[in-house]
Amino acid sequence: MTDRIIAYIKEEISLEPIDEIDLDEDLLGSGILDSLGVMKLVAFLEEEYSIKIMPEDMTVENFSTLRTITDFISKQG
Amino acid sequence: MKLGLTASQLSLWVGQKLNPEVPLYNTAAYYDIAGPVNEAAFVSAFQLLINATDALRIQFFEEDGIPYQAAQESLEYQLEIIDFSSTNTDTDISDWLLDRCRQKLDITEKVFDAALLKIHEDRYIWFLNLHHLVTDGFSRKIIFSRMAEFYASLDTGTQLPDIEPISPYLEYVKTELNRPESSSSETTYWEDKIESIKGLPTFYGQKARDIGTSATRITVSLGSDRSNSLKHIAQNSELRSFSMQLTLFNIFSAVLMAYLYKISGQNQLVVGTTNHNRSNRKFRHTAGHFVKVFPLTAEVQEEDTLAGLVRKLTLENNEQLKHGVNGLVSPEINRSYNVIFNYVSSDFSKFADFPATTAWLPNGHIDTQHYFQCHITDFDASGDYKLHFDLNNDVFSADLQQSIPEHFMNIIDAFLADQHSNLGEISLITTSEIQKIEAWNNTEVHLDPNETLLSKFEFQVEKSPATTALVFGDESYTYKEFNDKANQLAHFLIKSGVGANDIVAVSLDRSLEMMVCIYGILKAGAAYLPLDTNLPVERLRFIADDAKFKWLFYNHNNFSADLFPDIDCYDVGQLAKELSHNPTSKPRISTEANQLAYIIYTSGSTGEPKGVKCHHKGIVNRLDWMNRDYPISPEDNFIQKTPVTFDVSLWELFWPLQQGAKLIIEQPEGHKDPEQLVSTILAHQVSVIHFVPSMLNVFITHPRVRDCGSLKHIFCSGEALPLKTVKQTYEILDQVEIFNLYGPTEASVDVTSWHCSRENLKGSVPIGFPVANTRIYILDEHLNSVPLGVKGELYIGGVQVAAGYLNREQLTQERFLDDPFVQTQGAKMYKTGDVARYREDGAIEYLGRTDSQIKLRGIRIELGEIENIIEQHCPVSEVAVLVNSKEVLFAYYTSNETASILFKDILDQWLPDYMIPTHFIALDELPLSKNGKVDKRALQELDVEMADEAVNFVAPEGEIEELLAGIWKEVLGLEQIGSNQNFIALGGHSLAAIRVTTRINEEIEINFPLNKIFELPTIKEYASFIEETLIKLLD
Repeated sequence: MTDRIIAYIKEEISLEPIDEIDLDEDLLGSGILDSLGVMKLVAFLEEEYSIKIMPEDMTVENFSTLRTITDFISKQG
Repeated sequence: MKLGLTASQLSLWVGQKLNPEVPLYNTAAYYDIAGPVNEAAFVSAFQLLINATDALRIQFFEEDGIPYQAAQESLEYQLEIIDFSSTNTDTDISDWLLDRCRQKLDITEKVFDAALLKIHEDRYIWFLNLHHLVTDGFSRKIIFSRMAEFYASLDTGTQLPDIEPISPYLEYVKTELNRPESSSSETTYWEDKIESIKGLPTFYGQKARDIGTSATRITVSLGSDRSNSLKHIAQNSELRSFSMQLTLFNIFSAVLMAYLYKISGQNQLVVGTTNHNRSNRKFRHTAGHFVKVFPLTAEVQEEDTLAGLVRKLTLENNEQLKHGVNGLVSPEINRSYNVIFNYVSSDFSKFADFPATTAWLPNGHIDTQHYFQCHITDFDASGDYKLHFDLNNDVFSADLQQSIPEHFMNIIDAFLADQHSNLGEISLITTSEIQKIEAWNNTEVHLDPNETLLSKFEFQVEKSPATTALVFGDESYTYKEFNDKANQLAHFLIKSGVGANDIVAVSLDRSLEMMVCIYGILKAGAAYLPLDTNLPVERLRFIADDAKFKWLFYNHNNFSADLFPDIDCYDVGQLAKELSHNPTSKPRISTEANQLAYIIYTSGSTGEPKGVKCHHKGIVNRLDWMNRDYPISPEDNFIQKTPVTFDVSLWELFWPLQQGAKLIIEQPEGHKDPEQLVSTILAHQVSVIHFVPSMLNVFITHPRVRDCGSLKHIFCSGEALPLKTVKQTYEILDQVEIFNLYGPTEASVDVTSWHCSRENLKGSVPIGFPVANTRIYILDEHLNSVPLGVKGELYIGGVQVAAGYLNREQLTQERFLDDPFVQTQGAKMYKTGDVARYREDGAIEYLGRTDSQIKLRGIRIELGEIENIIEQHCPVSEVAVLVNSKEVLFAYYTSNETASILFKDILDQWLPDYMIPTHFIALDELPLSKNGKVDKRALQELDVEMADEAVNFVAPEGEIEELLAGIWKEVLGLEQIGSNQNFIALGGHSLAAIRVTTRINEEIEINFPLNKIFELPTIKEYASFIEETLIKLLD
């Protein structure tokens, strides 16, 4: 799961070219993504995993790092 | 390589086509650079910038009505340097900038204009105007940074920096154009969203039809204290979103929604918000037009707190951004909002090594669809936000343009003071608005504290005893005769035990006795209570029990005294002899101005009838005011035709006899009969008369009204006065002046007045300004004054406010409140239940009743407002709009028009869809109630057959109509089009308009402008315009 997400971030939405993303790296705080990027990631995750992410779940807590994102997705099943 | 335009570009293209003469999409800014700029390096850097930025080399052109774009391979450009250093002042520079930024760009040639201004050795200004088709807010920052990089390397003579190759803008355009259109769920999302939008907010009751593009930008600074507090609150975990910028965006959009709610009163709101659309890394450093504007909606309630609203908008913005990244802007989306909200935060504080500042230059125009635009910026990284409002000059007056930022700021301040205060508690009104209202309410004039209703009459009796006071048929009384008879009746009453503050009822057909009784009751120190002579017995009993009166006079056969054993009932016909034995001298009674003079029962639109306790001083003030403003003389002849149960009768009964004039008592029922009225007017040369507007409408249709040259003043009141009625009356009676008065029984007849002067007959007729010693307040539900133009409930303060409802303590407390706007101890204000707003000149507009304020699909609307619009723009004489239990609007009308009226096509230009009635039903006349007002209850019960809704199909006739029909069918993809059908109603949007106009221009070989099709939206209209044009050309 994580690899697909990392690939998407690297190819499509990271603000600048990046090599590695640590699982616990703060995606917004470190400047990898801006808020529009997060929204695009949300749209991608919905499509990719056939889930619906509710607006109230689009929070910093759920989307700050790769780990929180994958945790959140796993809980959606 | 030529390419089409992206959906976002297309909406700009259409906007420009609709307004070919104005620099609508110039987006100009200047960069003020504090340093000794190397001019040669700057000029070369600018050439490098052009070389590196394909968007700057784009040219636009049109083929077969379809716009295209292509970038030139190269563009040699010599940047102009203008030296302001020797003579010019700051004003000259800003004049130059403003002038230059408004020069239209010829985008078939070049999409930008630029210059470098030397202010002095150490200060330069870089002016850059870019057409919006190739740029957006985000691109500005890209261009500024890249220019700074090029300049820095050229200035130091080093190699050009090794910058990452930039993806061309046209490559983005290509991907946008190739995007599969129907595959995405986004399309459905946005279609559903637009479907859910019920109507656009209206601003301060301003009309936004037939407006131009001319606009003013008002900029205000939030100030660093407010900005810092906002940022502090934005960190609050309750409100925090993905980034500080997004949180601030959420807060500002919540403030905007709260503002729109407060000034429109609408719960369901929509604004267009910009999405910078730079989520794809490939184009992150590409300059061009990427921005997309999507509708952001919110359901706002009075109980919402600001913090709650921010949370609501956080969710909404998340959804909106998610669907916006892949969403496609369509003309429908572009039309789904009239407000644009834009939040831009990018840093322009450094150019190379020099400190810099920047500002946008307003081009003086905004597109007509989005006539309210709010931009919030922070360009100098100071953290001090600036608010820019671009406001259409045809919608917002200069005064209003100054108030709007203040209203907005009041909400920000309320948010900063307490995020948990609810919207109802926030007051928007500004100090200058309060001062204006205060001045309009400054109506104080001297009022004799001892004057009572008959003081002036009794003075007249002394002055002109032998003059005729009353005429009824063949009989008449002089002032003295009348006074003697009234005195006799008063003595009779006093002997019967009547005293001050007692109530004596009268159920009297119009006659001389009626006058004697009313005057006599007052002379006895009592108050009179008029009863309708046709009152059903149960109703009469209800009032008798409610008012607990002990005496009653009657003069007709509908009354049976036996039914009221507890009441002393006198048939005045049989009493004449007994009365004549009483003295004719004035009874030795002293009546005080605070005592009750009359009690009038009003039924109100709901609930039981209730008696209004009216005191002498109120009606005395009302009559004093009228005589001061519209003085009369003993030569004037009045007509008493208003039923005495209706309080308008008060001035007919008392005013003429205060001034020595003559009062003609109309026959019973005569007030409903135009023939009878005309005869009375002609026979007695009547000069002053009152009409309820519905009755005036009937009256003026009488053929002999033209002969009524004696009429000088017509006073209207009782219901909304249609402008059409005023105009028609003026056409027939050219010597007359019409006045519109307004007031409830609870405030002594009338409290506002308006002269319908012939020079000023447009829009609707306001109810005008407060009368003497009267104050009008327009308040929200929390008793805060609302800003000018905003709807609120009308409250009345001052001397005319009645003493309350008879024997109804509870109801009195609900409707007669302490007046918080004056110091006077015990002063009350009356809550009318009427909806009104201030016009900018201070005249008050009546909009309807709070209880006829209905909610249709969640939107609050006034039926009266719909009636006004129909009356103004459709060929009807009278109209009444009702809603049934299924939320369907019905319009009942009368009209002299024989052809069928295309109501929906006409109203489409003036009313939002949800306010256009579904059914229009023609009647020979509208039913009237006893008082002469339109009887809506009777209408509701009418069993009418629905008019056939299908617009009659009219086949196009003649060569030109057929040609047009052919083009329309092709462009709109329809099988059949009638020559009376409306282009917009058929689904014709702006792009279709371009196609149609281009085709027409090809076929006819004339260059018709694009906006013609919106002005002449039917085949018939357009065809006859073409015909006229062709005939003119042939001549």
